[in-house]
Amino acid sequence: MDPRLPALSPGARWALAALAGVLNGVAFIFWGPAALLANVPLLWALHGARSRWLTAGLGGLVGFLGGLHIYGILDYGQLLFWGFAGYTGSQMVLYALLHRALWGKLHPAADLALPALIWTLTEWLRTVGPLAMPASYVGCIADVPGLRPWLALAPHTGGLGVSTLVAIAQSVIFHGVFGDRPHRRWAAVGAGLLAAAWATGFAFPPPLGDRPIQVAGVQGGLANGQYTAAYADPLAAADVVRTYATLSEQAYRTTAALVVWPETAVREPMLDRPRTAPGFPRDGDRAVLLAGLLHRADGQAFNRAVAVAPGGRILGHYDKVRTVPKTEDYLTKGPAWRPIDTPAGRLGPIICLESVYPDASRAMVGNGAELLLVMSNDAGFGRSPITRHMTNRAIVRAVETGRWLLRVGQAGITTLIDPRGVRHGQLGLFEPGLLEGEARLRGDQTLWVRWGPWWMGLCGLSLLAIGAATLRRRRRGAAPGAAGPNAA
Amino acid sequence: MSPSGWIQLALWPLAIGYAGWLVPHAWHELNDEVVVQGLFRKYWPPYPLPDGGHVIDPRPVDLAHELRVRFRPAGPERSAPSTADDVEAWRGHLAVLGVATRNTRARAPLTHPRLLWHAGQPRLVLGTLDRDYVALVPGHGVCLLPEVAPTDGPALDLDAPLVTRWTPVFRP
Repeated sequence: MDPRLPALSPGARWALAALAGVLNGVAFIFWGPAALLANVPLLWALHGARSRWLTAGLGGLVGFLGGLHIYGILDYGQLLFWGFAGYTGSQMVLYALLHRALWGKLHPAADLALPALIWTLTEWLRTVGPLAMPASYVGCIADVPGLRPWLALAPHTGGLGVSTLVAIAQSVIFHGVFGDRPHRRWAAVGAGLLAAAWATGFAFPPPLGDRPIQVAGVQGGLANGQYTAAYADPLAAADVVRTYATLSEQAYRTTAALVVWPETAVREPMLDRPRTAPGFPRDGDRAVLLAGLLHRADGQAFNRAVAVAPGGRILGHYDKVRTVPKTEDYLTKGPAWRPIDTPAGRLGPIICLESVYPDASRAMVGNGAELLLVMSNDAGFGRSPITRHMTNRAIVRAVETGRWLLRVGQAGITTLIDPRGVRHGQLGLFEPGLLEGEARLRGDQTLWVRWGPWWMGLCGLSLLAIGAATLRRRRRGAAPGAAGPNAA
Repeated sequence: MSPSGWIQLALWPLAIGYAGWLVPHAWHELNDEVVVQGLFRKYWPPYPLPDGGHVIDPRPVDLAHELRVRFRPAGPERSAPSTADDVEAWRGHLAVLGVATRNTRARAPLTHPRLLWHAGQPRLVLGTLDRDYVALVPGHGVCLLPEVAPTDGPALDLDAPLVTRWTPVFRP
């Protein structure tokens, strides 16, 4: 590194790590472009840190502070909130320790790639396992128009590849500003790669599909309190049903071929009498309804999406597979992510939290879904930015799978997203209404749908190769520039 | 001052200032009661009652209107008796509506919807939800109360079934 880079005291390192934590949090919640800078202060703080404990602490602080910004989940309990912050902290401990172990041991090109490879690993780890709680850079930039060309990588690599680009940007900035001449040269190469990715994405955006279908999302705009009241008071329940019935009937009078409710829009026993259930399409209506219901049968409860043809004929259903731990323990999980065949196409419903993870949408499209529907109820997040955060993840799902995606939120946000990540219309929080638009059905499968997390495999192998080379060099006793001149 | 000193001088006040902004901002967002303008009416956020229980659906309550809508939708729309705590007047009101009643005490075990009085004001206990009682309380709205009545006194049981959880609201 640049020999003029000043030696840092532990206090300065902690201050830089705190800045990085704040920038990560800001990127996730308030302003996505902050992701391009987020870990730059951390990389500086880590540079020259000899102590493993200090290194781990710096990384942990970054992740913990970033995790605290997801405060909207406090409505679901203190344990989830603090657990999430601790979880992201643990990921960044891994980031910091791997960086310390591998940076500066081989070639400047490896140094440039390392932050991106390590971030890719930690972000992938956040999507796997029973405690997985994703937090992705691609979601931070999904709604930034100037960075949208980068999203064109997602159909090939999954959203993870785009997150790698963001992490490369951080590395480019760090090595470009603080690096010695060899590192700055490779930072320029990295900048060139980023520009090339942008230009390619701009010149060759993903295809949109060619089978149009008119869709309508029905947003009741109710707070959770209204459902609590409906639980106790039949007239309050009638209000909820009447809201969805009225809006649905308006939708049936449009040209929509598919009308979609949000998650558990109605919790009344509708499927006992589908021919006469309020809001279900009658004979003579043209649209298929995908209804979000809380369905009870045989002593079990299901978070269910039901496809209903005009006249009340049930075409099929999907039960939520990935339920929210603790909160949805009373639900019986669905068996698989399988689309529903309807005259409006092969529909791929994904319910709420399932849209935050890449596996549900990939499985749906892999099993033939031509259109994705995210049915969500984010009323519990109130007016916090979490719903925007969730909507951005839906953008990533649309681009990864090459599918149009209609996100219908019970309390918002309802929006139609195309396979390029562009949003067509929006209903805001707690705003009752209809969102109408034209989507297009697609039957092809992107590389990511077919090959899955191959990008992680490539990055993982690269990281292993760097690790093996580092180990071999250490055993030979030749370790140039081990910790640099700026020891803690 | 060393570079480390300058870094700390710049960043720690920034971090503290940011935390000073973020914490109240998050607190406000998390505790901001959502008032929802629904399709048909406004919904206010729930709140606790000073004597115990919660108002789960705050709204104006016209008991005479509620009785008709809930128990005799085809019945005539009538104003409430002019004397709010006149049990006989309410019995007559319900009779004109076509709802049979039976004398009881406010704190008797609940087997039917019950019109009772507290502090001179009528309230309608509709049924139960788990261990709470669902009641319409004028001046508040639909409430969950820990006991059927805070004080004992004369009451009227209505000839109708109790409301329980998810009582279906529509019929084919």
